[in-house]
Amino acid sequence: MSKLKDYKDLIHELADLLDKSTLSEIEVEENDFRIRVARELTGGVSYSVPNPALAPAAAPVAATPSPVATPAPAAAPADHPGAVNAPMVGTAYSAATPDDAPFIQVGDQVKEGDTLLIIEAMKVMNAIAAPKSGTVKEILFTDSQPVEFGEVLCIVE
Amino acid sequence: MIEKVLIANRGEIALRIHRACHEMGIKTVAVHSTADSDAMHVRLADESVCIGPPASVDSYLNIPAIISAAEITGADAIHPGYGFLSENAHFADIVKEHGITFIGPSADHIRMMGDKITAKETVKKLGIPVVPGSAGGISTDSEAIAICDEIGFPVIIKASAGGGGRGMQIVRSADELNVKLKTCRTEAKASFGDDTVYIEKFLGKPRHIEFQIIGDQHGNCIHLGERDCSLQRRHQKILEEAPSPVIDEETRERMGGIVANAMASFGYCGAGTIEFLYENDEFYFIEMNTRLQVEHPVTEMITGIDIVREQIRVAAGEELSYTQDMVRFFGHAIECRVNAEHPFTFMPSPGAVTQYHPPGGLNVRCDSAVYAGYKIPPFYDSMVAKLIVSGYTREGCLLRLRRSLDEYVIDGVTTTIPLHLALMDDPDFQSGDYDIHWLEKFLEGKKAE
Repeated sequence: MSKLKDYKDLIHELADLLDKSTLSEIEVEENDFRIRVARELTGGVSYSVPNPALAPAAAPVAATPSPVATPAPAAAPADHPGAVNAPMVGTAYSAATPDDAPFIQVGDQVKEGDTLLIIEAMKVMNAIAAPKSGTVKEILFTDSQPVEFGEVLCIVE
Repeated sequence: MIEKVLIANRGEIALRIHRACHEMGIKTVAVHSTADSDAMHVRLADESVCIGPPASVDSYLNIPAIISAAEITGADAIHPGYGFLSENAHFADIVKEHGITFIGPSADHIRMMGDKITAKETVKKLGIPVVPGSAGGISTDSEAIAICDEIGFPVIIKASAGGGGRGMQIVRSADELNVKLKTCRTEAKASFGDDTVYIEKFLGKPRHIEFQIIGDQHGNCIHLGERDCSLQRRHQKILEEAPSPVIDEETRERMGGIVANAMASFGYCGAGTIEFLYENDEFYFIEMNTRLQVEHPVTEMITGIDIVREQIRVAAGEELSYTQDMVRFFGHAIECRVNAEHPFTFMPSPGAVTQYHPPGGLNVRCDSAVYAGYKIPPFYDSMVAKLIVSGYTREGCLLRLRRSLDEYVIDGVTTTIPLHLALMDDPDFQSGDYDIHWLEKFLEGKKAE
């Protein structure tokens, strides 16, 4: 029973940490003990105990809590490792001129340094280059769309 | 009339500007850094544009980003607030070149008043009394000694490109002069990129008294009375009041008239503040701020006039809403600047505000962008709220202010509210008997306790 109490305290501690920070999940692992506390998309904090070795063998437990099914949170575009963010404020254009074909389509292979799109700021056209080589997974802007600093333009991985 | 204002600022003043705009039916655009995405004015504005990472130089001082944001949102005017780009003549020029209205004076006027030497020469010609001192920048040490002989020690050496209380050295005797001149020049070069310095008589126990003026594009200019901002720590104001406890009606009319007429003949458009040191019944001009001031609410409380609204109107080409004889002063107002800092050590205290309850009631005004759950970012200045209170008399105002400070809840961070409460209890403050050095002596005393 005391072991379960330790976990309860730990869970509360982790949940507190989660609340006070901008993390969406915390996972702690040691030997054959692993515990994960995650924030659900709907806003609540959920507790999940996936490792069956956690259930203490000897001490009677009122009810073994079934692991709460936490839907894998869709990685927010901004957190995606392949996210290409706007480095400036301006208008995003998908092609060099209105008559040209767009620089990229979903599925294209790009090399680091290839132009992905143009952001126009104060009448100056700025080519936005691929930070690394990869495949264009998603394009998150439309032609002539105003964009702000940090806005995710596309995902390349 | 202006239709959409881009607010090139943050925090409480951005919210202040947003409020004035919405009351006039004007749409607002909030530009913000990534650190301010959850700011109150960003939530309330009609549109918002993230313009850069947290560092001011990359966001709130980032002229291309701000102009670009104005272009993509179709803003027809920009209000620069205070600090940041509000006194940047280059910015005012660029805004104008892009066909956008800059809510403030012309770039030329900003430039003239931004250079402290030119400002002094300009206002002297307009009939405003100045501090005795060097006619312009000091080029040689012998020139410096000659001036000091003429005006007498102590003197103060100031950087021409400085301001906000920075870049100054006090010299009490001739032996210190050369060393301090060198130091001041070096610091001025490092901080402001210009090592031009000038010398002024150093006043021993002056009060800081400033006059609020507003001018329009039709040659009209009125004054809205004075504010006493003598309570300063390291040249930063912490509390301001209007009217000044030592200025009577006759002096107000006389001095106010002088500055208003001077600014009218200068052709100044917009809100401005002429700052003086006041000692032995004499006024000495120190600088002019060609922008809205932090402490403008105390003037609003005793005149009933919305200064930000007037700024927007005159920028749009309208005439001032008031003539001088329509301006009435009623009662007394005091503003406490609440900073997220330790009240006596001034250690900054950014972080999450867990509980927030501002005081209310008759004649209690709280200008703040804080809300429960707001995380105060560590990248910007520490002022988080302005508590402004007014009353029929100064005494009544003090009682209301103490009650309001007692009621104010800002949990989760350390604030300077206890400092203001300590001031309320001090007999010198209660009698209005203080000068610009008073607060630092008071704080020394507190540290010793």
